Amino acid sequence: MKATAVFVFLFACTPIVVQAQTAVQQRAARTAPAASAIPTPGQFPPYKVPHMADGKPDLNGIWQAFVAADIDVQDHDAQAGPHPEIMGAYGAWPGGQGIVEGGEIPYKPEALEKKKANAEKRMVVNITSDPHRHDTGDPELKCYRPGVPRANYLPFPFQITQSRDNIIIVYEFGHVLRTIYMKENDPEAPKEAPADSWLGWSRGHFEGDTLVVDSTGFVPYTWFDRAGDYHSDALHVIERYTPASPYHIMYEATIDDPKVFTRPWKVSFPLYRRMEKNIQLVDFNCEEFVEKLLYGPYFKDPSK
Amino acid sequence: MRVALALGMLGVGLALVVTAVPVQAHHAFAATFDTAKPVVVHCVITKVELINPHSWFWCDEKATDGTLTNWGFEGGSPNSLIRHGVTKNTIPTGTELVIQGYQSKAFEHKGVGVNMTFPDGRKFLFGGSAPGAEGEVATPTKDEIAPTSKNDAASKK
Amino acid sequence: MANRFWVSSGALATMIVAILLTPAFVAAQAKSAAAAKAPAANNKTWTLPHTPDGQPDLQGYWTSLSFTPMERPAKYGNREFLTDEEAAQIYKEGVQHSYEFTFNDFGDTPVYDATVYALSAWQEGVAPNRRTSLVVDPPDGTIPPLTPEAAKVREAFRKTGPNQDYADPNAPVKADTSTDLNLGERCLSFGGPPILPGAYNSDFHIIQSPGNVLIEYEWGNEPRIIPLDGSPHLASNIHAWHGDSRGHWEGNTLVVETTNFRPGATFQGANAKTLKIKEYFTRVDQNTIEYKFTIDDPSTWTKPWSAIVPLSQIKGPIFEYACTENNNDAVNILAGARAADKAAAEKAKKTSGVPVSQK
Repeated sequence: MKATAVFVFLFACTPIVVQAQTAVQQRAARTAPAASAIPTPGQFPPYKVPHMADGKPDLNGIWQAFVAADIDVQDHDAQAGPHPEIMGAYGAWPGGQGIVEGGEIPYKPEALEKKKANAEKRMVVNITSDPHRHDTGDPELKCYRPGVPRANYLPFPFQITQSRDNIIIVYEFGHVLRTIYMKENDPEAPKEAPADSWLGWSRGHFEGDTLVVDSTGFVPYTWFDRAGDYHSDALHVIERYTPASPYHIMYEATIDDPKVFTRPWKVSFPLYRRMEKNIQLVDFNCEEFVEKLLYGPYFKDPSK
Repeated sequence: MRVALALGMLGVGLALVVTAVPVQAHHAFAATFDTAKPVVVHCVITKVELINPHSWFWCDEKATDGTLTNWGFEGGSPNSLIRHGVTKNTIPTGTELVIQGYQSKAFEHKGVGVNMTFPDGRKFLFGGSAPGAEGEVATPTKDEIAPTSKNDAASKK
Repeated sequence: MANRFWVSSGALATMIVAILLTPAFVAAQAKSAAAAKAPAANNKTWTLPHTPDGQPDLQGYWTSLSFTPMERPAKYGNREFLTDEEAAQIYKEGVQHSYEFTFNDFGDTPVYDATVYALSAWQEGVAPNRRTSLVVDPPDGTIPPLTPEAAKVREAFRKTGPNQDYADPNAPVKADTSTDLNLGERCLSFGGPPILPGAYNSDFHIIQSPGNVLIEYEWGNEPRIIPLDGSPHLASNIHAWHGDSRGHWEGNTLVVETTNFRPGATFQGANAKTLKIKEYFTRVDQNTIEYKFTIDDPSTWTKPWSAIVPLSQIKGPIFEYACTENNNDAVNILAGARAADKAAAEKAKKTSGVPVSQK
């Protein structure tokens, strides 16, 4: 009885298995899958972006990247993380496929030495009341503003609020706020950065359905990841945000810094719309978690 | 400014506010700077930091024997300056200043810049601008940018 | 110049009176926010602008700075508004004081000259206000009494909280660890709610999208995102430094309710569990938002109370305010306290009479 049941089961399954293989072959033959089919990574069916009342593509929402680029924008293995004897798996860092198009960051040879020095000293925090406070230590560790484009690939959500004249991005990490000036010839937002900043001076416009953001005026203190990848005050970033589906923005950033790199280079990855009902950002005010790290040496009793 | 007093002058009552209203951001000036240690420093700008919560001006003071001492002086938040058209290019390195201030309690060559003028006595940036007058953004000419040649005795340590 | 109310001393009085008499200004000061609408007193009627998706437009750069005291001086009794002459006089005196406070006497307190940095009130764009006080309810313009338990909490905080002795700038400041500094000095949080006048950089950027109003405070570039979609508040065991806000439009007034405050970081030390703040934003003319807030915490104040803070338009931009990144203050305050500790210890050794080797 049992053997018969098994035989019948196998016989019944066979045509389904055969049909499934045919469907897979069919999918592989098409370049753009139909919307109802299982998506193929890297491919999107044609998408018409909803527009806002002023006619511009609507990027409002809460978005998040799911790459391991904050650890290292290039390909990397998983690693133990700091103090594994206490932190165990809590503190271990995942491996990841890189987001750098072409694979490698084109450092000038002498600039690569500084990247290595950065990495070696990424947890050396020496906070003085002068610019030397920035000499060593990953700014992310200190809860400093992560810079651009790193803010967009931290493992935290961010919220885009889009009005006609301004797009403001609020990052859950440290409630960092970034303003993108959208008005052409805005007397309050000159083309050139009035002063340098951690998130740069950003001006944006739309090209079709793509938001293009051009940023300059960066302080030289942010890093691109925990691996010590860095830039100078000559950094110039051009980002492109292209909605690819109701749930995805395809993001890319071109990084140009002739003081550090031999040529411009690009990172790209999808941004995912956070779809939890009633999703909102939750405070991650990391400043309060780093006070002992930053100021401990100046406490009356540094052991406290 | 002694913000508590300034607010009193503004007429805004100082109800006890626990959340960080700007008035509280300066209560510990007394812990930071020493009223018993006034300084007058003639120096040449080496770095301008238009940063928050306070701007900082780094400035080389040249002793009569030629040695340089780099001082750092705290100023105000630069955000209103930026709204008034000041940029990172407004104050070039090499600008000569006379800074009257108070030394910090902990660091010998850091202080707060109370009075900042050019050597000819003109106020720095918008200093001394009276209501109704156009504020001056004093960009020094090439003639005004020169190494300091004298030292006020009060600034010697 | 930065302050649109200041042309020249000679024309000042005339100009202020003219502004105070404009129909919009009078209307803004004489009506409650909920009932405000564009006045039709003359041909040049101002029309309330709307965003492309139809919301009343609150967008732009605004300052909450004014010379109006929080609580009403007793001499005004229940009078809510100044006369035109009184308002002009108070404004003129306020501006003059903020200019004079420029440390012509070097022997004054050890702080930088605010006018150098265009941070004095008039340089920052302070606007005149016809109110006798910010507090409008209770009708005598004073904040209601504290409950007995709240009074105890506040007294305890005075004794153990971050040193707030403003009276004597030379009083020793306790700074053993960073937790002895206040939230601003630690770059932890700025900006309410509620919105109040600050000494400087008292500025806001408001933008609106179809689903949200976003208020950015200049200090720290602190964001408040106010959803308009009627979604429920955060669960009660998730807290926020600025509370959790939900907004909706009632006519031309944006009504915002905020809860979920974080214990230890509440307005005037109120009870985070029971505190509710309600805010009302109404644009009453091109340059003015009438902003009203109501504080409701029965465990702190014996009854709810309200204040109206005018928000006046200013020129932007609001530049980056990277606080923790360059917080030299925290280092200098703590290091200064350590230097004072060291000096006190050395003085004790010298004066104690006991040889050092026997200590």
